[in-house]
Amino acid sequence: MTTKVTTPGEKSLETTAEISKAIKAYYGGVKVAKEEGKPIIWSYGLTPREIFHAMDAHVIYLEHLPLMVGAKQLSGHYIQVAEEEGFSRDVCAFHRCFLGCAVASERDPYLDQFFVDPDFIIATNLPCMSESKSFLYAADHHNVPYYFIDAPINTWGKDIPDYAIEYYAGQLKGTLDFMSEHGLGTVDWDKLKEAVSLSKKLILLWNEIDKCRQAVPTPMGTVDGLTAAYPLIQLPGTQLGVTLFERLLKELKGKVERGEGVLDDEKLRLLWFGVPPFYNMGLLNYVEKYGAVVVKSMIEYIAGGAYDPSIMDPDKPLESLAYKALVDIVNPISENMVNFIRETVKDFHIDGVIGVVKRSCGLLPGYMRPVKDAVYEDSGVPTTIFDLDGLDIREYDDATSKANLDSFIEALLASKRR
Amino acid sequence: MITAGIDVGSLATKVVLLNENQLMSHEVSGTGVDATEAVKKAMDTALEKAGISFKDIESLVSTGAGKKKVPFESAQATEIICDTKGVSHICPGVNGVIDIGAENCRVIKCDQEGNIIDFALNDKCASGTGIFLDAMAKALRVKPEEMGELSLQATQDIEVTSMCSVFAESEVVSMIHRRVPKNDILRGIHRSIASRICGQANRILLEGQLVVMGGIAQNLGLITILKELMGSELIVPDEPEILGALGAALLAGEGEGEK
Amino acid sequence: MTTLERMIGILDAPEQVVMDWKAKGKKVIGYRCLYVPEEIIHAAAMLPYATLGTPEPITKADSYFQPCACEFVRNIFDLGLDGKFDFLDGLVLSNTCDAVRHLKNMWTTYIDSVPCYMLNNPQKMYDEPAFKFYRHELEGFKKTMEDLSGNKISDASLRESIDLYDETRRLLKELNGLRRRDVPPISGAEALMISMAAILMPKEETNALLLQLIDEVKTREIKDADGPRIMVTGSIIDNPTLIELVEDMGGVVVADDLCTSMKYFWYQTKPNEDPMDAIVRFNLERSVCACMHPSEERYDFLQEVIGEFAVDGIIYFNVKYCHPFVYESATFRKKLEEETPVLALEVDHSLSGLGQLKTRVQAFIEML
Ligand code: SF4
Ligand code: SF4
Ligand code: SF4
Repeated sequence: MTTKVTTPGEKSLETTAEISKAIKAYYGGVKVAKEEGKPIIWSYGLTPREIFHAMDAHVIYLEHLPLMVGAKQLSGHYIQVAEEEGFSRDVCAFHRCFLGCAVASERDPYLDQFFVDPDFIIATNLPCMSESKSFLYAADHHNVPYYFIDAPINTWGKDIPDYAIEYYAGQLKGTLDFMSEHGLGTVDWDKLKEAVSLSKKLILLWNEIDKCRQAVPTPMGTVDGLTAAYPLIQLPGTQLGVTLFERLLKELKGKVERGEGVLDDEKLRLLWFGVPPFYNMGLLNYVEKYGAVVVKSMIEYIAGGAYDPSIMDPDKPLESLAYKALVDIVNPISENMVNFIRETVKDFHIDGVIGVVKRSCGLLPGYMRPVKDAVYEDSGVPTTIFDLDGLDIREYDDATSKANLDSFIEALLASKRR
Repeated sequence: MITAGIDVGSLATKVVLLNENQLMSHEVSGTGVDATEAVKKAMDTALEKAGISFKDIESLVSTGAGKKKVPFESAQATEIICDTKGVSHICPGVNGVIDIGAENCRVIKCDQEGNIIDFALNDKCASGTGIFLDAMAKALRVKPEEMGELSLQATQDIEVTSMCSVFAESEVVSMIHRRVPKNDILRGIHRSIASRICGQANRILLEGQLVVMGGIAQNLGLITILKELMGSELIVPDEPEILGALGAALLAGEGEGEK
Repeated sequence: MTTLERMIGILDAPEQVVMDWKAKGKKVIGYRCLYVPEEIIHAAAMLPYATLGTPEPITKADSYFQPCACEFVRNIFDLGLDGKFDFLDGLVLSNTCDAVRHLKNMWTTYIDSVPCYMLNNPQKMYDEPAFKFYRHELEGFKKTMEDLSGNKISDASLRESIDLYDETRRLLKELNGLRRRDVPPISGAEALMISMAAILMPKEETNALLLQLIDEVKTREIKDADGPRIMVTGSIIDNPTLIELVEDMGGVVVADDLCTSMKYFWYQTKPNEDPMDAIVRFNLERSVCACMHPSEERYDFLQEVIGEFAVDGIIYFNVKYCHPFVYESATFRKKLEEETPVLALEVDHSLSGLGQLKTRVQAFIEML
């Protein structure tokens, strides 16, 4: 059942509007590069973007394109195309959508602005192993070579042993060589070191941005935050990313000083866990009628937002990137994730956690219960969990989603009154 | 203080009137196509039974899927809040609530004081609810209110595997053709619904002493299987369908929805 | 009682195997799945025990896993929560799919009675750095097993264990090789049950029984061998029901590319001076699981089996929400179908909804 009640989220910051423009410009650049005969890469997941930026590579990111398609409510169509290709509904909707875009015989004009066939593919199994599988199909379909980056899962917590770093760093080296062999020129190590140092800066800025967001009332909710996370996820290792974050930080600091919040009278602060409905970000604004703000969402932390960058050493670029990827909160063993969310709930003064289950995701739903229990034990903060596919609009049911939010928030308010 | 609770379900509209939290009257009537009209009517009847007039009501809370259609000024609350309130009023100290309505099934876990600890709503699929049963009743040509009784007379266990009402209907029709005894099919249907509800309850680890409410709570066949599957103690109160409205009226007494 | 009956009988009460072992005062380590080297556990004088599921519906686990986690994993966790695996002295998982990774999380967080260990195997094969990484992991694993058992693992004892397990694999392969015949000596359901029993039992006993069994069935012929020859593949199947279903519909199941069968025994270790290295290579140079890269090799393996066993049709039994195989079947299907028809089915691990499956299998077999 599709509902026609979807609305875009209401953003309130100037810098996030700028970031949106940067996203458009980025993909516009990919199209131009293709026309100029430069190789186009498809990649995905936690493949360190720094190595791409250091090679001046033009990359389409498999989880990002569906987001853009999804925000225009177009994902349903392409997902359908993939299903007709034999991909069951259990397969991640992002990957179904992307595969649909890849194999569709016709693409609508919006998608056509961004979509470019690959010359080769860089695949990985981090965060979720299924995804490396979807690449095989794409590589077959386009008959292009691919390189596979195998990420060890993090069974160690924060202390990653040297042999694991060495293994992962070795594969990054392999990726660089592979890119060289496929038309991207020789590896410029100075540039890579520069990228790592910019990446470090970027994360430090993000950490400061987070500090601002902990203020009551919060100057930026997750509707803006998800756009704001774009540089963190896609632009680490670039000056552009750093510049955007510097501006954002400035804007937020001003707001905090003036005591301006998304809502001036915040009654409840919420954390979103799982994939938000990209086709209907207005749902996150829906809770405002209760004086509630979704302050933060877990996916804003993917790709390094949740870790202490002091360990990054530009002189050891590959090892630094390896560490960053291996300790990521979504490198599936839950210890880092659970600990991190625990802290987030405290630092951000969260009153309740909204956990949404995207049934076609092999990764995130598995964290729900451990996170719920840890947060409750630690801070007495409750979590509600319900089904919501953030990308496949066909699965969306507005009434049920709102009923879940209403019930949860009323219960929260009732317990606050006690 | 005289308070009112209105619960506008998709099939039935319930009104409860309280005076100092004591029941004055209640009324249950079909919602039909015009919910607003249905609420007015149910309210009038309830007022008449109580022997008071609308202006005597000092505070009013409405709940249920159609709560926005209530033509009077009132505060609104979700079913989760109202159900819990109503249930802990008549059965204090229970561990949770299972509310099986026409289109929705809700499970709620609460503490001794009636505070909500956790809850789960059914997803958009209606297979654990009343309309699913109604559709099956039609397919089998039995009266919905007799289904439960008949299912208790089953002699064998049949598996109805389809969860979706459309598929389940064709599955049931094919069973009728194969001359599977009606009662056995009915038991299969009830088992399928019960296991759905049980799954929903498992998601929030609901156990202990539970109250079953909502229109379907009167279906003894379902309750019997549910007990079997859940291994919990299930209490079905006398008027299981008005507990949501009762909770709303109690909330009204706490100052919500004062005129 | 024939040896065949005896072996199949093991599955009625697999715990008995464990009880007998434990009666000797020795420990038992549960494991999931093919990438856990049983040899290391065995060399520490413990019994590696394959934790299989049951077709029971899932209860408590549904509050921990969301319903979209593979049902097999939820089933194992359900049994764990219920204390059904409390007889184990440890559970070892290997890094394969997202579901198993979460099983590790859940187990460590919620089940205290049995410690859980994750062996971090790479997912890249034929790769020197991967070998090196894996060697480190295996050394750690060996140490853990030594500590758990209190027994040192010497190269000699490890070598002995490898030989023992190789022998099991060799015998199983020999037995199943007989199914190449026009009229196979054992049915698909029987073959699966034999493999499962062989996997569960201590290998010293298994090997003796398998020798007898091969002798016993050499001259046997199954009754209905006229139907199309079927290979089943896909996620784990730990119950013969699905195979029986295919055979009831007239298919002759001649090959079963399953973790409880062919995937387990098709390959043996290669000669190697260093037994640890032999294990490293064994796991990273055999292409049996959809979790591993590259996947071309696995495709070749399927082709090899199709050719050798004169397969007429392939049935993928993918456990619902098993992403690795859902992807694999979608990716391989087109290529495979150029020569051999493929039916890809999603099945409930709890085996509900068999009616609908039956219809589809029947239509497929009739088409062949
Ligand atoms: S983490 Fe989940 S949503 Fe993201 S790509 Fe993987 S399966 Fe899809
Ligand atoms: S398919 Fe792979 S992951 Fe699954 S049990 Fe078999 S070897 Fe293990
Ligand atoms: S059945 Fe599939 S998803 Fe489940 S554990 Fe095995 S490989 Fe993983």
